Amino acid sequence: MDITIFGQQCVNGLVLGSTYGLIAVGYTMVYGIIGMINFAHGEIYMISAYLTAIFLALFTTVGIHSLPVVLLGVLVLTMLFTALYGWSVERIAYRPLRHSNRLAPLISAIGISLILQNYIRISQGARNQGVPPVLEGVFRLPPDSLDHRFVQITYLQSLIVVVALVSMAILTWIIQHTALGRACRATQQDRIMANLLGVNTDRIISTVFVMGAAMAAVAGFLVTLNYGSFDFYIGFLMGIKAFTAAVLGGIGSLPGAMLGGVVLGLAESFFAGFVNSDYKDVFAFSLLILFLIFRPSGFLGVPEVEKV
Amino acid sequence: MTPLLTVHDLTMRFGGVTALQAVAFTVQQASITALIGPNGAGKTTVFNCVTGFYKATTGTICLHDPQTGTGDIDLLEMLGESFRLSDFWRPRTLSRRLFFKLFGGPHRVNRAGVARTFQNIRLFDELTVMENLLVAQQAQVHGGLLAGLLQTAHFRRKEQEAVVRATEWLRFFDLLGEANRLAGTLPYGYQRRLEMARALCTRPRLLCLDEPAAGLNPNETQALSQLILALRDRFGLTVLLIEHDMGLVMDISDHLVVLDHGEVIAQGKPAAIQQDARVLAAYLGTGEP
Amino acid sequence: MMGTDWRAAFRVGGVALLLFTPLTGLVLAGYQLEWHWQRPLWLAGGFGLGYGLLRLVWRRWLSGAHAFGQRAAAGSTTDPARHRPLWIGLALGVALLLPFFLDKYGINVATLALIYILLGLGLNIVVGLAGLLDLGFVAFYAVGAYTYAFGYHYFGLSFWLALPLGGLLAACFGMMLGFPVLRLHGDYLAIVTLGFGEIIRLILNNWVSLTGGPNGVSVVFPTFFGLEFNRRAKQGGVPLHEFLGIDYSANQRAVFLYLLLLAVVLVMVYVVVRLKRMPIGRAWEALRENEIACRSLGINHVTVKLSAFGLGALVGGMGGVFFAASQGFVNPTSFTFFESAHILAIVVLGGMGSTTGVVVAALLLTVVPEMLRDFADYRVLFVGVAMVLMMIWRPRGLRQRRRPVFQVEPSPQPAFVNPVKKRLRGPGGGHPPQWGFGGKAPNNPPNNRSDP
Ligand SMILES: Nc1ncnc2c1ncn2[C@@H]1O[C@H](COP(=O)(O)OP(=O)(O)OP(=O)(O)O)[C@@H](O)[C@H]1O
Ligand SMILES: [Mg+2]
Repeated sequence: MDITIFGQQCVNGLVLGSTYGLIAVGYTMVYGIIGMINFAHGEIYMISAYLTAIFLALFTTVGIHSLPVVLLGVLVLTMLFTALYGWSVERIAYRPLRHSNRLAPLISAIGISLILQNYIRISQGARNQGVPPVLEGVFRLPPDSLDHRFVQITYLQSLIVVVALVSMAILTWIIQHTALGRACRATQQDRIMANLLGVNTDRIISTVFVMGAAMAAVAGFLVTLNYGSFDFYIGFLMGIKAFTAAVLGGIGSLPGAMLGGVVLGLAESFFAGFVNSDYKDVFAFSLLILFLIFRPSGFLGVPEVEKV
Repeated sequence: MTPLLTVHDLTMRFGGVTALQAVAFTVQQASITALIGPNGAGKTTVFNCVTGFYKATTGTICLHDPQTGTGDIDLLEMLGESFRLSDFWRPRTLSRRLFFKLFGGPHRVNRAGVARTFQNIRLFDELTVMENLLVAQQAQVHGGLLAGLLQTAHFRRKEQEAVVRATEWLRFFDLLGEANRLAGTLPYGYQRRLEMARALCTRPRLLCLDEPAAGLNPNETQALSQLILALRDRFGLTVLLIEHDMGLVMDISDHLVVLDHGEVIAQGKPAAIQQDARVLAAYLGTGEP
Repeated sequence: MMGTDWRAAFRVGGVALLLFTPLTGLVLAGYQLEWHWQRPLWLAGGFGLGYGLLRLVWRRWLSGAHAFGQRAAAGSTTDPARHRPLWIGLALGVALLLPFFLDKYGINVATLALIYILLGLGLNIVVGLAGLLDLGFVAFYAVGAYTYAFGYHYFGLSFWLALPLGGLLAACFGMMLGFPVLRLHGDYLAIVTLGFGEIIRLILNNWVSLTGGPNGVSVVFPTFFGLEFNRRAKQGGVPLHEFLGIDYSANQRAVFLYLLLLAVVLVMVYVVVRLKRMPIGRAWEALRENEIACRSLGINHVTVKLSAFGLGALVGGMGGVFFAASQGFVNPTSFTFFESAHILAIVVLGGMGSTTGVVVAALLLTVVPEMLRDFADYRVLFVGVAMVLMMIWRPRGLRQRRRPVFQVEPSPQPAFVNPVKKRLRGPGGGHPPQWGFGGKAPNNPPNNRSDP
């Protein structure tokens, strides 16, 4: 096996995995706090891809061309609006059903994801959309290689990894060291008790959805810039993949989400590179099923004990 | 006196926590045995081990069968023990292990004759009272799928018997008027009684009641103690009972087992336990005697 | 009161404006934007106003109606089943005569509706009764359809063999999937089944040499005891119209399939209605309500869950065989996640567990979109909205399920007793119960016992 091909797959996997990790955070945090899967999370990611393209076009139309300003502005706006969508999902599909049976929120969230998909299809059209290339350029390793034996890392790919790491670090800091984070952890441990102690648990749950959506927005922004093209259906596949990442890492655990994302990304790109690229999704889904069956607590999760 | 249940050297660990440490006691045939102890002593954990919801770390739990005399039923085996190397040259043990690994579980313990209620009531809320009781007779009614679809005479007779048996227990627990109500809409005291009726519908030999009097008023508690006594005296049932209401416990039980911090600190007749210094210490929180 | 309503409406309108502005007001066209500034305003206004009005209406009337509904469910004395035979007879008559008054297109829509009824009934067992959220139901549907397609293509299998075989194979798949996922609870199960459905679809799509990939496989039309529905015999049999001595009509085959499917659906409805009153059906519902209690009562949750999975899949598989036969062709695009969501929507709208509800919802969700062709774009959107609203407003479905009523005492008013229960002759008709340990049966509560 050629070492450069191996290296290239590593890079691709790492980049893919970082985006999985960013989206997985949303699943993991929501699961941690209300013990449910946010089925609409993939669609939130899809929304953020559209928002990224729209805000990029908006900046160009308004006439702002400085690259750092545009990128930062688009990122912040996308995060804000996507977070608003995340908040609305919680408000509509989850909060009214807090005391109903377990299936109800899941079904309403599936309803929401159908709504979001078709809302975008109707308002933005069913065709493929895209963004113009930004930040072109590559690093090569080794830099002075003359033949084709090199590993190529685009600027955007390195940006993805760096931004993913930074945003994960910020999120971890928020959860570990702020009052808000403490309230989150308290709600996660025991919602009723936290409520009795004066934590506004409804608001905390909303916040968790908002934070998850914002992280998905970061992923949407990065992936959109990197791939350049997307449609209204991307959320479905990405959603399951990211959920797989969350399960791999151990659902409920923040570092687990990132770890799971990277592991899944690597596994997937090796599978695609060395085995069969047609079946890489089948591979990812099989991985999900195998993990759920044989190790539902993932790498870093705590096994759930059934209390009688 | 013949023993019905023998628990020997029962130890249960959850990760690092030792919830039970070498617990041993016997339950006599047609007696009422009470398991008492402060909160968190491990009483419910004993129940969960006996009824097969937890797999005990070590120990034996045996259900004796004095009637047929065919010997003892190993309740732990039914949960599916892990394989040992020595099994592989003993095909009989191996096949038994494999069978219980695949099809074992708490339901087998129930079918062996142990029924229970739960500390936090677990009813089928969206089913009616009568349906709750019919579900409990599932294992006995169990006609074939085809028989049920075609409503054969045999199937109808079995259904009918189940309804009659349920009706009798409803009458015993004074719930006849509620037979067609949704179980979830019953008042708390009724729910407790329904759970007992449901456990009895499985035709157990040993009935385990986890804090049956919790949340009942004194009148209801009084009525409950009469019912439990009737179960022993009229039907020859054996009752194992967890209860915090000392009045009730001292009144009705034949034998007491006191747990504290997962260990049996005393057992015997109620009068003797009331004098036991270690028990008093455990309950009143004074230092070790 | 009014004030708070309008303030809330205003807030909703504001949030809606924020939500809609970038995604409906600015539309991507290449790398440029088109401006539709009036769209978000209309939408936000509509949402705000609609929400305000809804709140008002809710407080005035609907909340009362809601409470009434619950009261009625808790203990109704009037029997809603009195006119039941009449309705069922009427519906049956219409269903039987319908194909003779419809054109080919109409019959096809009706056939599709019946297929969805079948699928709804199958999924209803899994989701509605057993409470296992299966998002990959379409996989079993696909297994059924492709069993017929491959069976014909590779082994010359006839429809009549494919029907049971497709069902059984789907049931096997159901159990195979069911066995490992038994330990998973609600949400995990949903995801695993979703993944499973996608795996099946992707394999069908990618394994071109076996499945024909996106181009699919063609299927022959079923014969009727060797009689074909073509103008001239193609499969080596005799054309039906020649056999009967009537004129050939292209409708005949569609009518035939419709009636056959109708018969299967009727059998299935009967089976499901019976199952709900059988031990196995009660065990499914009990398992949905409380798994731990079930196990404490001697019920093996593994077999109970597997039977639900297997039976649901069996019905789904048969639906698939019919689908393949009616289309004359199968390809993977018919088996996307949306199809699963659609079937789930039927179950949800029908009111989880209610058979009549499933039938009505399947008709509603299949026939109405065909009639409203102009709104085809909005169809899925409405399905989604309906799912969310149903969950918020009536998570148990439009119709509260009637529980079977048991007669425990010789009652002076036998008119209220459910017909199914009438067959049970009340206490005394059966054998005396056997008590736990050979004791005697209790007669009355032991209230005369003195304390020791
Ligand atoms: N599934 C479990 N995992 C971890 N620890 C457990 C588990 N079940 C019980 N324990 C621990 O075992 C100990 C005994 O609990 P148990 O419920 O048996 O007490 P109890 O005597 O029934 O108390 P109470 O009177 O409050 O019902 C407790 O410390 C509890 O935390
Ligand atoms: Mg307890």
